[in-house]
Amino acid sequence: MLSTISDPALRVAAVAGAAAVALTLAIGVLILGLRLHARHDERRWQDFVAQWRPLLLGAMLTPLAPTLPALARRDHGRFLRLWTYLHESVRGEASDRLNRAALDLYMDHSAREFLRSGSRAQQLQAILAAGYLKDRGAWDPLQTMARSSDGLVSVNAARALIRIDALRGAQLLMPLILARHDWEVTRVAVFLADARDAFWLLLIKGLPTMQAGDLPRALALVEALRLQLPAATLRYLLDPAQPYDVLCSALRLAATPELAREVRACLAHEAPKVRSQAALATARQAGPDDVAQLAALLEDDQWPVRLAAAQALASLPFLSNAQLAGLQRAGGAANDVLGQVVAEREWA
Amino acid sequence: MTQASFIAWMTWTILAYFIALNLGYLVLNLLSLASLHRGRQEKLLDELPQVFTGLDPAISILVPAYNEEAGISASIRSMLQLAYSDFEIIVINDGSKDKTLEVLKRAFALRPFPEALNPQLATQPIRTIYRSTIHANLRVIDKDNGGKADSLNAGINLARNPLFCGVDADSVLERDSLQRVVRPFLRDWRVVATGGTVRVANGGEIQDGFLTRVRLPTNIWALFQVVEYLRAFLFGRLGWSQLNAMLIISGASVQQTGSGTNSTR
Repeated sequence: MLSTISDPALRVAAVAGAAAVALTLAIGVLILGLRLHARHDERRWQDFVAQWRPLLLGAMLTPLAPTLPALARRDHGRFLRLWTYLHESVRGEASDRLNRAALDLYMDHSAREFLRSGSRAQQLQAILAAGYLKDRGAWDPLQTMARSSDGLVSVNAARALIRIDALRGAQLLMPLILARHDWEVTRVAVFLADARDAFWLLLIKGLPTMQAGDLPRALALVEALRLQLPAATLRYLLDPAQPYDVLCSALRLAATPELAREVRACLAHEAPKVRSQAALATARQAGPDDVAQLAALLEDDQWPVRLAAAQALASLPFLSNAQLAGLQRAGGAANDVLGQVVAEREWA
Repeated sequence: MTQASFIAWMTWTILAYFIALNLGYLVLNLLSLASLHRGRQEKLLDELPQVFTGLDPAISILVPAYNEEAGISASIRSMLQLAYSDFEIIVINDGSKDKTLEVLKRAFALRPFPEALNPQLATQPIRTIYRSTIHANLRVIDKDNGGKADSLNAGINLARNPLFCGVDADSVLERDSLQRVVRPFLRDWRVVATGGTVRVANGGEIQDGFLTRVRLPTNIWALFQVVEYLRAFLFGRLGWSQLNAMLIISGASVQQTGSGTNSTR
């Protein structure tokens, strides 16, 4: 048909149009195929859950080893998916019994196979399973995966390593925990809870020599894990020469009266965020003598600092509403923030 | 240039544009398919029971509303049920001419509150700021009309959290949308804004402010709208996102810089 078109522009248009139609049809067929495949998969999954969920729940509840039916090889992935889901919600004996059920079905072998040669989804599944099973045989591949550039794979591998051996895992992973900014602090804090003491010891040792770039992340983890740092370490972190995000974190952690001098020194820091944080930190350990210093911040030229100072003053139990309102003055820059904190106190 | 050569030039230009445009769409589709495939591999982690650690960054949801009396109360009620550890909702009544403010006052027991405003962005005058006596995390700004950007700026001035998220008053959010939208911030400190996929709810079933079943609309024009939204929001944005080349972010969550440079204008 193309040979009958003499105009080259028309020939190109016909070819392009035909290609566009063909691609549209191909995508249509692809979408239809994916849809059918997804429906089939979902049906198989529902059938599997209907059969195995009661069995696994029974296995969790009984102290005796249950007799589980044979598991078809094609269902290994589905088993691990359901098993992981249940595992995520239980602790203690129930968790041990779930492990026993999985070991009876040789799921540790399947998980290792997935780790070695599975797709990315299967590897993620296997990483979680190896962690729950505390499978020491999976240590080496997990260690390699923890160094992978894939953030999700590596952070879950790190989690599994900590589950298998908290102390060894914390020692091994410490540099990665500080350097891998693609590992969410919240997620890391949750799994580091199992290795809290080990992490604390390593951190105390490492903080003074830590690179400046790693400090904010280390302190974010200290906050997340609610660890207490020794006064000497905090004093070093509260040095005004530290970067302002380090100072802010250190101020949030400084809760002892012996650091009062360092905290108060930050009230005059050049960065508004540090001044705000210093006001809140001062309030945590303030006495009547500190009111004047906090009240001075009500005249700060930065609004967030004035708000923080007002909130700090409002948190002092010995300052009455009348005394707080008395800090307002005609044309005062802080009248709005003081009005708010007084109203908040009255609403509480 | 003769008339014939001009026509030939125009013909080839239009043809080249058509081919380039469609090749562009094809590339974006392929990129977004790769991204969807990757997301599907991570489904296993998404469906696990979520742990609220209380460590996630707090979010301020900003809801500009202009003449939204019909649906505003249901929208805010559904937003109040979002699954997230720490968030506040700031509704900005942008000088509505209907009873939007009255509906909000009645539904959420609003009372005027002497709220301090960070004057970092200039906006139309604020009339009153209200706090809900039922929901501690709900505040309402009543201001003169100034458009959506002006409303968002007023919301930013009042927002107290490090992240803010602009949501239309007639939008329905998925229950875990805040958990999802915050993830890129946690995984990459260079991220300054994230967005979600906007889909057409026509034909779907909505219960208690949440979309419970996705179905296609019966109206032919609404069907075209579904295709257009898929092209623009799903494939378009996902594809551009793979190239780090997003020009517009719908339903954006944005990190506050604290330097007064967040103007949405």
